[in-house]
Amino acid sequence: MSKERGAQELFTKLIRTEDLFEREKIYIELLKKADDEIISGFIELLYHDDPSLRNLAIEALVQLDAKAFPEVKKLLLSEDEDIRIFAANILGEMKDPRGIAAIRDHLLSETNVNVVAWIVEYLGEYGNDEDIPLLESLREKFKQPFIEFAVNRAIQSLKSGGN
Amino acid sequence: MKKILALDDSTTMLQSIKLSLLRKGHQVSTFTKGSEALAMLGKEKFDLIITDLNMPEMDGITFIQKVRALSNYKFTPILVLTTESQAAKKEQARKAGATAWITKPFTPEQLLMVVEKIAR
Repeated sequence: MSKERGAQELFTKLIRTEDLFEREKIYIELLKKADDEIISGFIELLYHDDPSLRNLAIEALVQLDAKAFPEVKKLLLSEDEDIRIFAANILGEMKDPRGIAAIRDHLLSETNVNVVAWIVEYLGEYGNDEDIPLLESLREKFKQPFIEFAVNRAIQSLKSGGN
Repeated sequence: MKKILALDDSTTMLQSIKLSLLRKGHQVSTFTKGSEALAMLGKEKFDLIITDLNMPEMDGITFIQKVRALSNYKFTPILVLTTESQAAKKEQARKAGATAWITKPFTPEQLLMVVEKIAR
């Protein structure tokens, strides 16, 4: 009979193991439990130096969907641009419609071009015609060639019904 | 004309890179997944590789290490796309075998300038 392992123990093992099969097993076990401690654990992994662990955390938080939404949304306020990009990636990929709504709202206050470009990409893919005025406003706000390009592409996608 | 492979999980970034380089007559192949880019590198020879760092499935550092392990890509220039907050990762990328980096966002002119410089 297998003894149930605590979240802390599982995360420690997840970080230490180099065995991909073992990592997958722990990952599945963590996803099955999916309580607040586990969500916090995955959020901590977003700051880890090992990119494979960061990617695993992104994948997990997307899978956890609505359960992870409140904590992931808070990451949009991180001072670290990369963490805000991860948050936009997770929220943009979530099935929960609050994910897209959160990044849409965040667009109004975000000042970093790279974060904005990711949100624009998600709105182009999963947004709707009502997002066009917001997207258009970014051209004037940023006056930046890459944002101009991203906005044009997103609007084109929305108009062609590519979302 | 250079044959360039670009890897980024953002299709917007890839399109922007592609259009900038096409204007100068370069030939560009774009990929959103490292494994697919590596498979292409195994089939065709490219003059320059451009890669992002933070990507799902395979991150940029791992991708660079795998590229450098390919016998015919030991000396091919690799340009890394970074953000301002990735200063530490630039060093990791350099150790893995990157040739140069460019900070996002960049203009088409800035990209072309770096490409001309490292892919002679």
